[in-house]
Amino acid sequence: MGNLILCRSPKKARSYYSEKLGIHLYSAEELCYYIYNNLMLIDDSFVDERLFNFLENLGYGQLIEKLKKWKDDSTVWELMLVILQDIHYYSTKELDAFKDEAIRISREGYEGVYKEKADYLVGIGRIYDAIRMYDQLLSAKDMDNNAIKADILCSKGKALTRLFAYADALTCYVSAYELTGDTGLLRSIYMLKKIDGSLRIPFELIKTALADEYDALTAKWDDEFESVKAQIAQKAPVVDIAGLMQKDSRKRKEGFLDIISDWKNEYKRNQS
Amino acid sequence: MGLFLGVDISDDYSQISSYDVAGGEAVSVTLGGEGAAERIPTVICKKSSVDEWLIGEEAYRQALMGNGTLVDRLVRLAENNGFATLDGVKYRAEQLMARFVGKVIALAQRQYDETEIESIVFTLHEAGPRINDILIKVAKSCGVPREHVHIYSHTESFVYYILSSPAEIWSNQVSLFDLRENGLFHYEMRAVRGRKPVVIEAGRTKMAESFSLSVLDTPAGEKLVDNILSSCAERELSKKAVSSVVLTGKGFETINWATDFLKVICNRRRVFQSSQLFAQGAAHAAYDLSLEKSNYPYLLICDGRLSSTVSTYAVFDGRREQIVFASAGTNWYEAGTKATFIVDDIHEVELIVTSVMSGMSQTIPISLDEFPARPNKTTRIELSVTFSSENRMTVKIKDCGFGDIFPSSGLVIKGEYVIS
Repeated sequence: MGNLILCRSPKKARSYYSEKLGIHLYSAEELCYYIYNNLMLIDDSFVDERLFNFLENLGYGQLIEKLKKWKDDSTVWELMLVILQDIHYYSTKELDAFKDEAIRISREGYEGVYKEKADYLVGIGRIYDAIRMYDQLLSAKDMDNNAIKADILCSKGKALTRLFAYADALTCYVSAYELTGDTGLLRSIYMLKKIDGSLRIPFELIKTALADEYDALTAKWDDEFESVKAQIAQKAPVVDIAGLMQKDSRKRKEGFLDIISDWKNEYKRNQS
Repeated sequence: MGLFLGVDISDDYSQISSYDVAGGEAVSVTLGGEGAAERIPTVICKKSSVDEWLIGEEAYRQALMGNGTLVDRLVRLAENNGFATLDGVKYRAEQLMARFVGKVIALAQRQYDETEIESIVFTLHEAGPRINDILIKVAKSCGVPREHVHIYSHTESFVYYILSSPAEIWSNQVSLFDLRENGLFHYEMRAVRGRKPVVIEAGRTKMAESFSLSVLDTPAGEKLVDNILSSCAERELSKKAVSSVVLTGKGFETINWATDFLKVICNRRRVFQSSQLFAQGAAHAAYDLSLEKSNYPYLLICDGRLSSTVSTYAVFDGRREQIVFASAGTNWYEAGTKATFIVDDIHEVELIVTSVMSGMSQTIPISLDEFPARPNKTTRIELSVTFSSENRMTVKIKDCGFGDIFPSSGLVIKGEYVIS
């Protein structure tokens, strides 16, 4: 059965700024939503004075006491669960799902969690942070599993592609292929060449690896590339410059300033 | 300690009373000091060529002598958002009313040599949103904070006046006859003692019989009015357990001419006359409202007060609770509030209107379909309930979005409802 949930009024109009998403949170319910849907962004540093001040302003004094008391003996997931339970925004069923997800992440082990977190950051556009995390994983002394290493290199390659750093992305994919011999990676390498014709890709390596299938597969990849290209062309542009140009001078100027502001914020978020 | 004032503002005359905390009674404030008339004609006169303003009888006198221009019927003028041109200058009714009320309040401040006002209750024969707003502004200009200013109907002031009297006065029903320039009014008040808290039910009826008070200037006219009043009293008091009858209004300044009427109302009842009943009732209310715990812990249902409670159900701290927006017995002008909710898997808000007398509930569903579709529990709404009279309710539901995550659409759903 549906309900209305009564919100608490904050003492003062204060917000909690999430640098990782570049958004302000204004209420306890938004904080719960943020935790629940961005679990990968939460780490030990999240439970700090800034969070306590935010909760204090919202009238959650008892919750702060609990968090302070249990901070040293609990995992960050357990502390998040305490926050979610005390604010009563999510139902018991939803909290159970959160618990299951937290347990799954805990079982993944260090590399698994760290990589999943980096992949999540790529998903929300924090590419530089993600690349830093991939590099940390790759430089770890105990990183001796070639399959895992290749997986990380592959993810890093995808992240670099989003930054238009095709040459570096190519290096990642080639290294990943050398580690595993996974012919699936050859497709990515081939596609990079299609995107940036100036790249020097190891055609001989591809030819040797694919042998008799080379002609058929490359023809198929060519078709796929053209199909994706056509789909992109049909989609509305991410930034509708032409639409802005048709507006009056005041609205056009405001529109351009908004776009530049978005770009600046995105850049700042990636640099932080 | 500052003043606790009750101010009765009517179109024909106004009165002011101050509550004497030590004596435990409301005391009249007059324009001319002790012994002077308690009624101040609601008129204002601006003296010609000078910025000097007069109110009451003095205003009449100066206008008659040709020393200034007079404006009367200030309440109606204010309610109609009218204006008057005095000495070549156009004044809004609001400005004139502000000057008039300011001068009336100053009378009390002068009489008690005290400028601070702890609490003030304006009582009106016919309250309306515009005049209420004006009176609050005037009080504010006299340094009275909004929370210490209240606007009561005459019925509410009548109830406070009776409640402040000895309990035997209102052991049964109480009747009030108010004979004033614009008609004869009958008020009733009774306590419904079987309920907790005790419910005080009161009401006002304008009698169909109408006559001008100038009829009383001749013996024949007095006889005629006596007959009319007698028949009214017989009709209104018969078959009712009325323990007391109160007389007020300019028409009852003297009563010896109404012999037949007196016979009817004095029959096994206490009868008394009060020339300043509404202002004094308001002064009692002003003092009582300043107390942490009221001396009159009753639920008052009458004109000017809500007879139903408006609420909804919502989850708070994990428990489903009734959230009350306006309680029965609250003055409509002061009733209403707003609260913020998260919408969880519902498409309409249900307001529940529960009548205090019948106990029956009516549900008002308000659809939220106009708001943008978002994931569940990511729409915050601000629900506000206000009133424009004791039975007209305005509900506004604003889409507040969900912070930066889902920005507000700015949409507002507004509905007006007539409640019992």
